Amino acid sequence: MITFVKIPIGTGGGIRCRRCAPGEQSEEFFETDPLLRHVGEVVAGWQQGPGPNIAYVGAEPFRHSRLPTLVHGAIDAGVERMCLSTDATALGRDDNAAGSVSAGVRHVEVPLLGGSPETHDMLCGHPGAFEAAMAGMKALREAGIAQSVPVLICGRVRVCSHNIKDVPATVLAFAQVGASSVTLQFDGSVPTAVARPWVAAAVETGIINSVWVALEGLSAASVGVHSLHDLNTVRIAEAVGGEAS
Amino acid sequence: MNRRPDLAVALVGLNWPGYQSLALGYVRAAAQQDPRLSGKAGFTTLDLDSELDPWWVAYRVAGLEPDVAAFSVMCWNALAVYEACSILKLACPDTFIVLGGPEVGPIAEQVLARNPAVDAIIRGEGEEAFADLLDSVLHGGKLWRIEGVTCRRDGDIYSAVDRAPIADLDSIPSPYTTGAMVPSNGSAYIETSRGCPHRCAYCYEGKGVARVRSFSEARIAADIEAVATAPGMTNFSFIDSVFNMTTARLKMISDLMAPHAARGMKLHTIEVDIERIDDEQAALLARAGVESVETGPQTVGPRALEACDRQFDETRFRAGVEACKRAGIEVECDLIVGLPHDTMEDFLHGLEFVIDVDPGRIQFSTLHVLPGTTLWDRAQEFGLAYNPNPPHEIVRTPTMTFSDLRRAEVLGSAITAHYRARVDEPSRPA
Repeated sequence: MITFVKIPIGTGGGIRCRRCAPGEQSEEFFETDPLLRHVGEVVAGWQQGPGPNIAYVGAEPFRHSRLPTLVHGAIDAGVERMCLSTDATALGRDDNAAGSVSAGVRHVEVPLLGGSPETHDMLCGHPGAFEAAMAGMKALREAGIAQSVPVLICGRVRVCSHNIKDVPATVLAFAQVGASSVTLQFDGSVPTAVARPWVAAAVETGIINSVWVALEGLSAASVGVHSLHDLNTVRIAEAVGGEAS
Repeated sequence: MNRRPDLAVALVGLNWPGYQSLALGYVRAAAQQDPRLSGKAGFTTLDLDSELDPWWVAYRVAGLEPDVAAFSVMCWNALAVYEACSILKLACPDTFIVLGGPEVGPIAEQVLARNPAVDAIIRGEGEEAFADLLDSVLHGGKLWRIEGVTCRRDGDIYSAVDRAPIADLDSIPSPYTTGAMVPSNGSAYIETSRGCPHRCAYCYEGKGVARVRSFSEARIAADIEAVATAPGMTNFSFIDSVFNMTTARLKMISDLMAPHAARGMKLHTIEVDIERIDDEQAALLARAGVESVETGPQTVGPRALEACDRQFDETRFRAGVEACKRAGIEVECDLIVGLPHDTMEDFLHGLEFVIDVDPGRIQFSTLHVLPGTTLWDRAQEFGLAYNPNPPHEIVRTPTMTFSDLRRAEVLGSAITAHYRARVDEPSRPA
């Protein structure tokens, strides 16, 4: 219901299942000036409800050498809600969490592939990534509390045949760090009949723990859960008129 | 060494953290000034956090060794009050325990029947009835004859006749100018009127009393002066159910507040009828120092609006919000899930509407079927299943299942939290 426009800050980022897509991916980052020009265009042309809101996506923002400039520049341009799509591991280091909140970041979208180190680290190929992500999300929540500002964590799970059975535990893991919503993203690789019990369990895990679970790429009706779960709390949309390069 | 009064009275409020009970301030001020009690009754107010364990609430009260312990009861603190009373009675069997407030007044006999530790309940406005009750306890009078009191009599529960609403509000002393309450920054409230012009079925404010009664301009001025000039005050609020009932009245209060607003005093969370607000009213609100107002629509579902006796004009609502925004006033739009006849679609339309209006803040809550409201009286007719224990949350309606309601709560809370999380989200009292 709250729309964020994607601003790709690079390519090659994000967490993916190594068993589905083996091999390394290399990140490349875009220059700051064209990115901020793109942000300015989004702000000037905003017609999508409350906003303007943007999400920096495409590559890990905490590896972008000029992230502070990108955040401050966006806010100076008039961005009302600022989201970072991040693996959250950097948020637990140094004062990244406090600095992000202080700079104006209020939303993060964090991907997990599993609800424990055994699944997440194994599938993403990075030992220690799960615990680091959990610590990062906790640090962000604590920074929001310390600075008396609301900070929202949105989980995202790219569901495949290797993690479908871990989806309820993944929702629970997000709940434990105070996430407000989790999106289960399907790409057609998991048969509906296989997904059905795990999605139902994940949705109920969310309700009991006050976390909204939304489905993408799979209709709620097809897996027998309430149609309301087709609805997401936020929509991260493509910019009208193309992307920055 | 202080002499113990003939009648030691403890007034106990279990409040949201940092808040004080205005109701207790009123009944204390009235009792303190009552000539029958003067020099005989001594008063102590305990404003405690509602999160405090009832065991320790009882401990704090028992430490005062009161002859009378009076609790203010709302739906959200009722269970804690009942438990604290139960422990207190065991610890101090001779302490007379009296309750008052909107949660217990309308169902006084049931509350007494279920809570043997409680000796009496004051129904309706408490200022006069509480002073009468203290006088009766002090002098051995007949409690059961006091208008507006329900009490135990010879093993039975007995309700005296209702007490008429206080006709002249100026006749009751101010908690602030009498010193019965010391205003605290951010959480102090002033009341300029009682009652509500609306008759919303889920609310008790407009029920039972035919008209809105107001304090005089002089009394309001004195209260504003007392609160706005108290040490350390930077912001407070008004508790009136509709602050902008008429433009003339709003102008009067705006005139009184303007000098304080000019030196930076702010008013927060003022309840308004947004559909009455035009640029003139918005300017008056801003001049009074209002930085945030609270309003409906509660629902946009036509059948629920009709069942709840509420009006909703989308065009006027939007115009009111826009007028506030132009005046630099943040608007908080409230939605209630679980009203009679509302469906999941109505709930979603309501969310979409308030997000589209973009008021600044959205508050989402679940229906509580409160004693003293039309919905309480007509729950069976509407098919409302609610928790009989306070705070009486809705469990099921004919159009929304238990599961639907819980799902709507989680989605609504998440969306409103996302909406609220803005770069410039101001920090202000809840």
